[in-house]
Amino acid sequence: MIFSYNWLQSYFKKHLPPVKQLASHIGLHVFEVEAVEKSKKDYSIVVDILPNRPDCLSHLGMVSEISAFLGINNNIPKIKVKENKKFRAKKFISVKVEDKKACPRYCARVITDIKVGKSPEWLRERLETCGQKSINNIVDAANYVMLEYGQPLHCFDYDKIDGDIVVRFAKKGEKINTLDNNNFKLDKDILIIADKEKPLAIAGIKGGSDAAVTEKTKTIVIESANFNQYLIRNASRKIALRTDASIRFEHGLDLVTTEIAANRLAELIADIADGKIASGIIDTNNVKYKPRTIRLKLEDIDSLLGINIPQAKAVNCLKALGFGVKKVKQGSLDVSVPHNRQDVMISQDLIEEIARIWGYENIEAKYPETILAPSNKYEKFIWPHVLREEMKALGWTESWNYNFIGEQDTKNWAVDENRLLLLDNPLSSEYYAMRPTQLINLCKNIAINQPYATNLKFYEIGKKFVKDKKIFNPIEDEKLMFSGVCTGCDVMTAFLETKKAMEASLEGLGVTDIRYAVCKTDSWYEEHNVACVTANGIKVGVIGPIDEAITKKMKIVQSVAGFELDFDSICKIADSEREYEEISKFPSIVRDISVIVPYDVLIDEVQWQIQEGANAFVRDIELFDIFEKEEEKSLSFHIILQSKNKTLTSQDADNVIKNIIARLESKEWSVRKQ
Amino acid sequence: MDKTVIEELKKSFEEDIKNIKTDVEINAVFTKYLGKETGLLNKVLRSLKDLNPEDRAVVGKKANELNKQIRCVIFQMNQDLKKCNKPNKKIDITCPPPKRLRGHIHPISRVFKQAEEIFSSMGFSVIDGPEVETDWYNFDALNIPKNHPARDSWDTFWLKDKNSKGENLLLRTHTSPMQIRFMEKNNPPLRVIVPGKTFRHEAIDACHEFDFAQIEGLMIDKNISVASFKAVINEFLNRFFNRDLNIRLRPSFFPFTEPSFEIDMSCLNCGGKGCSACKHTGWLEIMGAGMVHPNVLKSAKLDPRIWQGFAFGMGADRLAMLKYKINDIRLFKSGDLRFLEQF
Repeated sequence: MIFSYNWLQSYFKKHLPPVKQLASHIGLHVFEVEAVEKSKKDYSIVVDILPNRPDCLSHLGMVSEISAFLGINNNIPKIKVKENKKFRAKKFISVKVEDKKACPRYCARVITDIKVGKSPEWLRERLETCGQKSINNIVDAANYVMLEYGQPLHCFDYDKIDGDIVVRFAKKGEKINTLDNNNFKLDKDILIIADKEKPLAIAGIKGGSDAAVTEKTKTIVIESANFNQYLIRNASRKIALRTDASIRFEHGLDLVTTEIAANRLAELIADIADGKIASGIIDTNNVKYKPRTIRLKLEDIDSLLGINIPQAKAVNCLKALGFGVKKVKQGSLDVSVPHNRQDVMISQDLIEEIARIWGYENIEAKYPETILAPSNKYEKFIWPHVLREEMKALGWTESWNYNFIGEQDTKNWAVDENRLLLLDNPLSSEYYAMRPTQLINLCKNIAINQPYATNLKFYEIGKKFVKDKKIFNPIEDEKLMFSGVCTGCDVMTAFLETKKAMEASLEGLGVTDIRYAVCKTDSWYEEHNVACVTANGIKVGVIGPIDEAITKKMKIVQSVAGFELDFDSICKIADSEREYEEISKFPSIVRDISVIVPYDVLIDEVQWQIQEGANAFVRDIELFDIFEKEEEKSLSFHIILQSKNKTLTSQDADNVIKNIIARLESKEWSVRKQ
Repeated sequence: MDKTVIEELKKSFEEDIKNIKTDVEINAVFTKYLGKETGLLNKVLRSLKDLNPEDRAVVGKKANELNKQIRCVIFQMNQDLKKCNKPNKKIDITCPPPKRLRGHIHPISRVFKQAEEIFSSMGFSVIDGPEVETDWYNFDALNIPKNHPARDSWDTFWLKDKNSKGENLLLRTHTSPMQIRFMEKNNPPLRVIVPGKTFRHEAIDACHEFDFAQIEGLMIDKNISVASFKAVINEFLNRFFNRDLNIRLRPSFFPFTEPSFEIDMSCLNCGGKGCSACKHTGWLEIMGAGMVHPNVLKSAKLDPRIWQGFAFGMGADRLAMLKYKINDIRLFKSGDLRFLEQF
């Protein structure tokens, strides 16, 4: 809300601090000041009033705050309504409220013989400083009182009202033309002010043009009403119209100000537009306000704030804000809440009032004393940091991508839309569903970086979202994944580079027994070339080349391979404990063999055969050469033999190699010993 | 044995060292006289114990003098030899080494890690929870009722799907739902931080993203106060930005805290004097926080008459932007190597 500095000053005998200083105080004790701007001979102070303080959407509300934090008195002139005894308001019009919950109070006054014209300069200046345009003295007066008391008011041209005023819900099909020449369709959820024929105003939001005040108006009806905040909020959204009035009602206004504002407006109009105020105020609910009382203990203030506040200080802060304070006994107060502070409901609300007026800078920092309990780190935070270090050492770049994919991605990657978690209100078609795999956005990372580098390696640790069944299952369907993609000049290069990194990271987590088996999985991998990765017997994920059809659509030039590992499985097998294995005292012997196998025989299989064939002394098998020729490939291995108990003789080694060769030849593979 | 033996050894040594040229020869001479097992002088030194005390004194003295002399001479000859050797071929010491593989860790990961370490050292546990949440955990349990204008502060992404109870699903707008989830399952006293992704239905610009990261904090015990919060958060900020910083609290409003405040810290650029980075105020807004509202404790089935504490939420992207002087939040999700390789 925009406040006028001069207007605020008018309520104080004492000079207020210069505007920048005042703004600084407001920021420290009330709410953030967004801007201070010069406005002719005045200053506009723009304050960000938050939803809990509708009372502050008014100059008098702010005056109360200023009094409190500066510790000075304010002077709010008493309202004097000079009624004309000849006319009685009730004779002019009556008001019927159909739903008391929708409209808890409706106050109206009638003023005759008004002269509609230009507002006096002081009024126009204040409105202008507050960002309001001057229309005519009647409308301006209503806006003025709204900015003064925070209560929105409306004026009707009495002669244009057909019969009495009814506050009711609109009927389907009813329409209204508003003051600014817009037309709105109404329905049963929207509250309106109507006469016996037609809607006169959208309650709490905007007045209609039919009964609007013009230069010809002679008699007016002033409306000062209270409407249900949720009703106004819903209606405002439905018709997509937000006004200064609707904002205030949405925040929830109190029922006492309703009457006060009606009287104030009558007084002001009589002053600036002449007019005779008919006697009596029409009021659908003249119930006396019973102040809420909250018990406040000094020890609670001290405990929550962490200070020792003298009782007198606490009492002063509250009284300065308009709270009534009664001492019940030493250290215990009964605080009564003024009518316009319905946001204060519990003792903590009072403690906040005391703290902010007294000043948070007066609370000294004090380290809490508590039990010495070491922190627990969820595994899902420990392992990612280990993985990041491993990947960094291998030259991979970590990416943080959006959790979303676009409609085009779904097409390119042939994703089953039935398994996607779709957004009901996406920002755009580019971010319309939750990502079912991190690979999509990782490949986008490759695509955009192609101009800058050739060997692109990206990984991400984050969540993927896939529905397995029709209903979303929060545990199964939102998974923490570790995924990566890597480019290469051909499929095998990309695949091996990816495999290298994936194995290194798993090794960093203490996982060594990693196996691969071709499997059926998501369609974006190259079929027959994608493998399930198992470690310590548990499936941890998949790895394989990405289908070239997809990468070409993404304009990726090189071959791409990717892996996806899931964290639930990783946490089951990760182990930071290392166990020392005794180094053998005895030397090792290395023998090389080459075996020629058909092209589609897996290296894993050959190694397994070697291991099985040897049956003893094999400490390691290292593939050091692959030579491909037509339908065959020749694999060369270093076989490292060692015993824990004795030095192996050449004979021992020969025997082992003989067994190995026998085993390999039994599979009809030819062996060449070196 | 008498001192003549020593004198003969001395003469023999001086003869041997004439015309020595190489280090091999020098070593050979050294070994001949002072080699461990077979050195001639060493043998004499070892046999001293067999002499009578008078002879031992005399012979011993001479033997030790010779020992020193031999060692000095050998040392000097070695030094001289070094100087005579041809100087090593000069290498260009400014030549760059072979290109090394450098991977990169994302700046937000770095921020998370540092925050985790600092808070861990203060006994805070690190937890996280689901990104797809229900209305209840994200709003209602946090004292933000339906249709309340307070909900306008968080523009929400809703999913088309509902969960098995038929409840609406949304993408969490803050990491605060974890306060409830954690308190439901753990008894106080407790202290946790929640680093995680959050989502707001907002237009993107240099300062706003719709998919970003936050770090939530929660500490509940019997006597946790605003004073406790000030101490803890100042400690965190000092360590995170590696300097002594001042903080100040300004009143604010969040439905899930009472009192609520905004926290400013001294401007990193000018130290509080005022500059363009802090709009000449000397302060940078860094996070929102407050004392946990009793209704929130009740939602988590805790008794607010016994337990109280603070909660805070900071933007991890903002922390990274301040720490690394990054001026555009969109860079974090860009995947651009020219950005990522700087970390």
